[in-house]
Amino acid sequence: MKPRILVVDDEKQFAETLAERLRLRMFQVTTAFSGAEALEQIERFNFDLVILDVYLPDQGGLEVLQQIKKLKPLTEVLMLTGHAEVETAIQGMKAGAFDFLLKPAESEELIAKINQAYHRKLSQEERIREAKVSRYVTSPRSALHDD
Amino acid sequence: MDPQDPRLIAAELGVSLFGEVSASLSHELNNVLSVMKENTGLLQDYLELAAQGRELDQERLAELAGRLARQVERGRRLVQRMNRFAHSSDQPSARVELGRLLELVARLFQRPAAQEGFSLEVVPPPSPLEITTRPFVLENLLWRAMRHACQSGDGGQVLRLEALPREGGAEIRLSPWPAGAGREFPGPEEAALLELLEAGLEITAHRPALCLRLPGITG
Repeated sequence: MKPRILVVDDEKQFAETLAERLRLRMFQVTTAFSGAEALEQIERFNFDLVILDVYLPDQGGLEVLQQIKKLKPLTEVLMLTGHAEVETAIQGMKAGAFDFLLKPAESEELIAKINQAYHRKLSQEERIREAKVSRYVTSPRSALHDD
Repeated sequence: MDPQDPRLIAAELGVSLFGEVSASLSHELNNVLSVMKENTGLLQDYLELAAQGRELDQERLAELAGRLARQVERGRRLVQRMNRFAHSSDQPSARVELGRLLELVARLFQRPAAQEGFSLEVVPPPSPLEITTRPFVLENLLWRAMRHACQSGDGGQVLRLEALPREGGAEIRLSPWPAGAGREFPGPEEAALLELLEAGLEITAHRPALCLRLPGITG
């Protein structure tokens, strides 16, 4: 199954064209053009991954990242940054972003990062499921020795 | 050289202005390149699909070509703006048309203003208004005034720049000027720029505006 992606960038042409390219590759993609719009989408729907521009006119990308992590901690975030904001992107990774890419990004590299982020999310979800299940189910053998 | 010499202060502020404007314009140009890269990538995607047997949508291709052309035009305008700004420091003193100068400064400041939630409007003078002044110093002062207005004021507003003739020179108005702005304007840096421009500054209380009074000839 392909991940559900939210692309967040105030440069509409960029966001919509990137979204179209990802849809051609069978990803499910939604776009948002501001921090507020992005958070509204995050609250309403479950995305596996957010591609987030560091510079947004209403809120900084870092601030939006922090809000995303509060609302949906398992949602992965890939930050897109221009040259001047590399420091911000590094701060983003410390705040929980999966990785960052410089704009304009190479498609192959972006797709590879999307797939890596998605697999990390799936692994984390699996670990959480296993932890929950192990609370209630031990080995069948131990059930036979229940004194 | 005396560190309080207005020419030295103006020179340092000038370097700072070049840095801010360059950073802003390069960010916008990077956006143009990013959009173009994605659109050319999309074109390549369609061509690959066509090679696999999918029919090419001619209208879609025409639309993508149109998008690329618009981004090229957008990039061209940005470079033009950058060039005009760079050349404004060619001569310390020059004859300028104030409407065009305000238009340039407003377009350069558009992105920083948007970051603070402001948009800009230039009201041109009723007829071309030329004065002899220090264009780069004037641009610097206007930049600092707009920045102060945006950082001290409430977002969601339109900042208006207008140039008007007055006896012996011209007046530039920036409105609305934020009431009770945190930092006094003009500060020492702006005072140095005003001295070089031989200009006067007033903040009007009624329909609050910053009024910059320029002589017809400077320097």
